[in-house]
Amino acid sequence: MSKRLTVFKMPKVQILLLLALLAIVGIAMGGDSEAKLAVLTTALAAAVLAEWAFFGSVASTSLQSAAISGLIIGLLISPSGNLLVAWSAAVVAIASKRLLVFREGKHIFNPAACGLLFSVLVFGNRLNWWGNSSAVVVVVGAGLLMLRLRRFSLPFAYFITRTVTAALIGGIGSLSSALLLPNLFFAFIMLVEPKTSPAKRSEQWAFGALCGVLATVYYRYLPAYEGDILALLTLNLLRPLLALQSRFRGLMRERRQIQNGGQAT
Amino acid sequence: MSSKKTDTTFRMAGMAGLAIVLGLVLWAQQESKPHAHEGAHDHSDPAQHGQETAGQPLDADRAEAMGPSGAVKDGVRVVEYDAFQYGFAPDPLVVRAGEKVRLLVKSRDVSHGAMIPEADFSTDMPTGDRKPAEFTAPARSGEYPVFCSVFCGPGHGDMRGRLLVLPSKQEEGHHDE
Repeated sequence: MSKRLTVFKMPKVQILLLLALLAIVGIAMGGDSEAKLAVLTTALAAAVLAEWAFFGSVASTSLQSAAISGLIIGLLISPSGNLLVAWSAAVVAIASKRLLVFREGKHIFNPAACGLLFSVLVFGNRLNWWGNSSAVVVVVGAGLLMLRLRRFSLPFAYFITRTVTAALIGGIGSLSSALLLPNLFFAFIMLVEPKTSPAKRSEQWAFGALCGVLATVYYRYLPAYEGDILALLTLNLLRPLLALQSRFRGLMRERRQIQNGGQAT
Repeated sequence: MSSKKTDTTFRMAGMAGLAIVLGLVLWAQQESKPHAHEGAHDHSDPAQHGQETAGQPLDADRAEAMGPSGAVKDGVRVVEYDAFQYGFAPDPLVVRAGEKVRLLVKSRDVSHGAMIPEADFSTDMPTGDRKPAEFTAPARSGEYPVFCSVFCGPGHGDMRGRLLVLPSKQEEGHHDE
């Protein structure tokens, strides 16, 4: 019994439960419930099966990650579209974990974002974010989890810069509308993926803030390609530079401390 | 050795499962095809390449009652087209089949986008000054959906407009004969 309860304390299981809750709310609130279930099931099944196909026998945590990617894809792709979009996005998402990796073996890109960008490029933008069905569920559910995992700075920094840059571009009068713009599902569920976003607090602030700015720029100049997702993938690619910059700053601090210590003596 | 075997078994099972799911997806697509498309496959039609098809036939009475939006200048239909959280104006946007359309787009609140898959058209709709964006109306008359292509808030998923394509003037002439 206690073992079962421990399972529910695992962050990945909690994210899965949260995504399931968002799916239920999304299906209950709007129409197209059959189509929504179909797109969700297709993406989920394809992601889990692709995990086996690409990685063979894997630990249950890897399957949970694949299920999270599949559910995210299923929750964002328009349910009135072709199911092939969901299938291929899920397969590409998992394939990216195998094929697009840094030298140390960590995957470069957020898998769900990678699959979704593929679907946007190949099939046109068919994302309608139907799973972004309840801001309260997202903010309370994912927010509590992010606080526990110490990753809250990421969505917070994104929220601030996305709102401010959108208001600056749209004129200060549009501030109230701009407040509605930050995509909370994206910020609290996709941006915070631990393997493709920084763990250090200072890097998280930079990563989240840059993501907000870049998203506004992309939405402005490349509106057909989902600015949030493009911004995340760009930063995934640049993450080693962020880490490098932070390491460089650390080295400089150490050097200054040594110098100060030398002067004191 | 046995772990290698297990690995291979899982890979094979995964691939077989993926193939089955793909088969089901293609079968479902095939099943819905006769309702969505009629006539020959058109490679230039994005609606026939994995995108949503929603061209609804237009009844003659309705077509007669609707006048095209905007005005024709130098052979191009010019229409001021607005977006807002969460809709488009005018709705429906009424044009004639096959004609060149220039939308002068603008958003009334935050950045939006307009996408008409059947016309292979996508543009952003910024706030501030109107921005021109052109497309050629589908050759078949009917009603087509207009989607917002820029995440614009919690109602983005339901933000839809309609493009109403009336028969071209030539077509109408043929019908009169």
